[in-house]
Amino acid sequence: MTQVAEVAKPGTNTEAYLRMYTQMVRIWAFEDQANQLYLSARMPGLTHMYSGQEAVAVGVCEALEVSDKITSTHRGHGHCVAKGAGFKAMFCELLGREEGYCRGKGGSMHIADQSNGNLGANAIVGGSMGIATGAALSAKRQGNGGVAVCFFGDGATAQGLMYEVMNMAALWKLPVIYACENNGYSEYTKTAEIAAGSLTARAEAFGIEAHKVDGQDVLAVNALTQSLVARARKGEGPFFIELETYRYHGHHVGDINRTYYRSKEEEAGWHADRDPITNFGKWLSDQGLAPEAELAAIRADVQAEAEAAVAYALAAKYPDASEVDMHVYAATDPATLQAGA
Amino acid sequence: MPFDVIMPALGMAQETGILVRWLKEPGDAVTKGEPLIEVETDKAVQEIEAQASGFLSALSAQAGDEVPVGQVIGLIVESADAVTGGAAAARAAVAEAEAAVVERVAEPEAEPVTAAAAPAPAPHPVAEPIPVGRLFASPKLRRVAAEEGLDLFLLARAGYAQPWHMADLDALRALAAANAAAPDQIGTAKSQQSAPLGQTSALGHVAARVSGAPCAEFLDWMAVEGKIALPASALYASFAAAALRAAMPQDRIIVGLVSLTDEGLSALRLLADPDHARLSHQPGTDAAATLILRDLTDSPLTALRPLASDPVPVLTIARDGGDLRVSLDYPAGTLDDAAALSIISGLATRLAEPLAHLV
Amino acid sequence: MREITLSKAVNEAIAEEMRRDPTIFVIGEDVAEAGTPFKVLSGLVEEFGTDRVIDTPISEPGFMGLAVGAAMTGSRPIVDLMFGDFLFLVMDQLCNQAAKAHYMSGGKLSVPLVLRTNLGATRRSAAQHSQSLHALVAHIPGLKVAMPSSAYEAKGLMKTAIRDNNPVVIFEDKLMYQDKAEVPEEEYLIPFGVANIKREGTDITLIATSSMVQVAEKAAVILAAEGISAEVIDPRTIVPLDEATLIASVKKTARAIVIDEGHQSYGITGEIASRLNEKAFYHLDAPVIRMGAMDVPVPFSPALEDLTVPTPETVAAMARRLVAGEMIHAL
Repeated sequence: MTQVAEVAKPGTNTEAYLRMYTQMVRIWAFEDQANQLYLSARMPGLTHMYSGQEAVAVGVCEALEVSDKITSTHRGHGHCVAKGAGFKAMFCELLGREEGYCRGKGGSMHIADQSNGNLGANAIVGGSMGIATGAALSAKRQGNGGVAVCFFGDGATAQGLMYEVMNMAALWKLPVIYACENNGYSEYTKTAEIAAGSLTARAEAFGIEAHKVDGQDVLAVNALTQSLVARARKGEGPFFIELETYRYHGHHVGDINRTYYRSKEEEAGWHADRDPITNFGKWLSDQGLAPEAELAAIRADVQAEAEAAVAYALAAKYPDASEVDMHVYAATDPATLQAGA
Repeated sequence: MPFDVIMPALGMAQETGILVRWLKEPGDAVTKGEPLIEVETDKAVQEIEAQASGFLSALSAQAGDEVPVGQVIGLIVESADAVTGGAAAARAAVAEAEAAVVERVAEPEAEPVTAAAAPAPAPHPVAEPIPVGRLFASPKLRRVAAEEGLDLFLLARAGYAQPWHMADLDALRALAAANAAAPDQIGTAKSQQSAPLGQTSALGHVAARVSGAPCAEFLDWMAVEGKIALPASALYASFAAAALRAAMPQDRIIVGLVSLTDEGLSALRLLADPDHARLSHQPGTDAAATLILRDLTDSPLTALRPLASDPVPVLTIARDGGDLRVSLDYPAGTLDDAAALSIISGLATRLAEPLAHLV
Repeated sequence: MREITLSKAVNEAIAEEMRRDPTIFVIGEDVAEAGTPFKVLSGLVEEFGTDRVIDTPISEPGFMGLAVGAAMTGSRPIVDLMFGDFLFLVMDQLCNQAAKAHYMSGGKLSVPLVLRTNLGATRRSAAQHSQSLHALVAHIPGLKVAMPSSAYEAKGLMKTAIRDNNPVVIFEDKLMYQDKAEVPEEEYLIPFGVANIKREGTDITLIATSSMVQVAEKAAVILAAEGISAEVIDPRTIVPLDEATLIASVKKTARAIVIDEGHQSYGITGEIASRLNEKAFYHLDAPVIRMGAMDVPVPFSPALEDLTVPTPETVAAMARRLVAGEMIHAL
């Protein structure tokens, strides 16, 4: 069964709302800077912009604890910020610097923030689905009430792994929420051309409760996620959410001339009518919870912080050459490898 | 005494032949006239008969090798005792060959040297039976040999089949000990031994062939019309000096002339600047030779490699059929290759048009 | 000392470790009541329950991925892959995810899991159930690869594999499960990266993995009767590889054959032979020879299948030729 989430009541959680707003702005600012780094040829490799989907990551992650786990995708900056990562270490990672979250060894597509429960972005489409499900298995076995959220795009529903892990998650009632960010496109192809039938019906075929929600409405996303997380902690999982959203940029930062698969009118339409930050800001000021001036100040502060972080990262040192063959293997305490240990 | 088995010249313009295979093994009895090797030229594969009777020994070329015409590829020794493995015998055999140059020249040979179809011309007393090129040994044997200062080439010369392994180390040590006890008399062989494996020897060599008719006609003409009986060697000495001077201008050129005739090797005659003198009167000198000229044209020999490591270049001129073969052997450091080529071609040009160059 | 089967040795190792560490669980197809089709895990579910011995659907990529996520989050899974041939199914989760997570995260994420699977032909199981694919995973940085050659190695290596904080793939030879060997009652672990010289010799070194160790030992007996003294070495783990022991042996004997049941081309034999070439070159009196399985898919017919793997006779024959100084390949 699908449900449309209720909108949360105004006036009760101003702090939480402002936090959500700030987090969305942080994602927006981060991506803006990252895009400029790419366009000015200062960022190595490719990256994939999350701009336009801010409400999805924030709405979901604001419903999670730090100890809850998420897995991310190649379009992972939004999840990373939403789960609590800091700008400096993120930019350092994108620029391959030693202070990056992964000491420069992962880059944009593998950025992970283990201390905040982010088990990592993944360059393999659907590649992290097993990992999220396994994290849920750990949580269940450890009995700590933890929940795992697996972010993936509509394109990943074409991967066989998704069905294997949903099947097992359903069989074993694992505390995992499969969050499908349906932004209408699987790389350069419309979703309708790559996914037959209904996305939610796929989950329902396994007996998994599935929901659809407007991914651009942060409150709706957050409310839905809160309720599902609470139930998952009690062992009622797994769950599946399809979040309707939109990515403003191309598939990756270099995908600039894209009118062949997506019209400028369509893009403009989403910017104008469905922008999550604009709309939430409008809602906040309409509800009298935060005047536009305060929101503008938040935007300005965050932007300044992002700019400063970029400057910091550009000046930060690269990892030493000796690190190239470090971390291939994790160390094992030799004391544990003795009989009787 | 041991008889050289050589790569025969089977055609006029043949420089090398491919040893297709040996028809006998080292140690086998060999009878003169029976087929001994198969040789391939660009024309065909031919069986070559043994030119002596005895026992086959000291193979220094293998099936598939491409060997310069005239090079020694094995020995036929008198007794089975002298066959491969006897280091002293093998070395003695070669030393005897070297010393017996003159006697061998006098050996009666049925075929005239000028017969183009001669299946096996007079044996060439080549002093060094050396396979130049790769020597195949296991990495360990190479290393141990290098550590002990043993020259792997000794195994080749003694006819041990390649590739060599550690199992051949004892034989190598024995050969080396024998070699050290009776020092090698083969200068060129030594210089080749000291050259790194796989590289060319330290002695440069260029050769050319030119028709002998022009010089012969000229000398005839001088004798008949000019009524002057010039020894050919005078002509050659003059031309040699001229060619050298043209390639490397210098004040004095002393040509050390040695001739080989029926009476044997002549004494060394030192001629000063023979290219500046009249052919009939080339002044002698005591000065050291700039260049040795060995004139074999009155002998049946068609080639002769240097016998000892002379410190100066050695020009050899010999007859081969109707042609004159000239070769220049020069120790490293005495000439560069460009100069050597210049000398040899200068000499060949003069021999081809003697009158034009004697003005 | 008691003798137990390889199957029992593996079972003991896993049971002992599961008693010691509650974060360990076994996951795979038919691992619980069935104890796997080879019956190696029989009894575990009775002792540890279905929470810790988890039967899965036939979803190799799925449960491999699950194991990776579980390992990243405080568990130590032992994944049971029924046949080594199914390695191809789990390659993305094993090689793109598990192998690289520690490196890609700059050392922050670890994946302490064991992938337990098998190898070995001559069981008449045809091409898709008879492969020895350890070379595939040995090639991937971040994975460790263990190859027990008897019940003794199986127990000791399994315990180390479970306690190692990295993804370890351990290959048992499916034809050896009922083979017995002496296995101590007292606890012991076999360290990774330490080869075992099973038989000392002076004329030639036979380096062999898994069941090829027995093949090499039998060849050594044949050769001994002919006066050829063969040294037999079992590397035990190919990643990490105890090069030093192999090189020292070849320096002593000057000759080596590497015997492995993976395909001869582009495999373990080539890698080890190449290292010996690089690092013992000046000590070689013969080329290092590879003897692997024939480069053919494993045929079904017994008349054909047995031709495709090294045997004591073929190993002895090659050793004989090398010792005689014969040229195996043309100059």
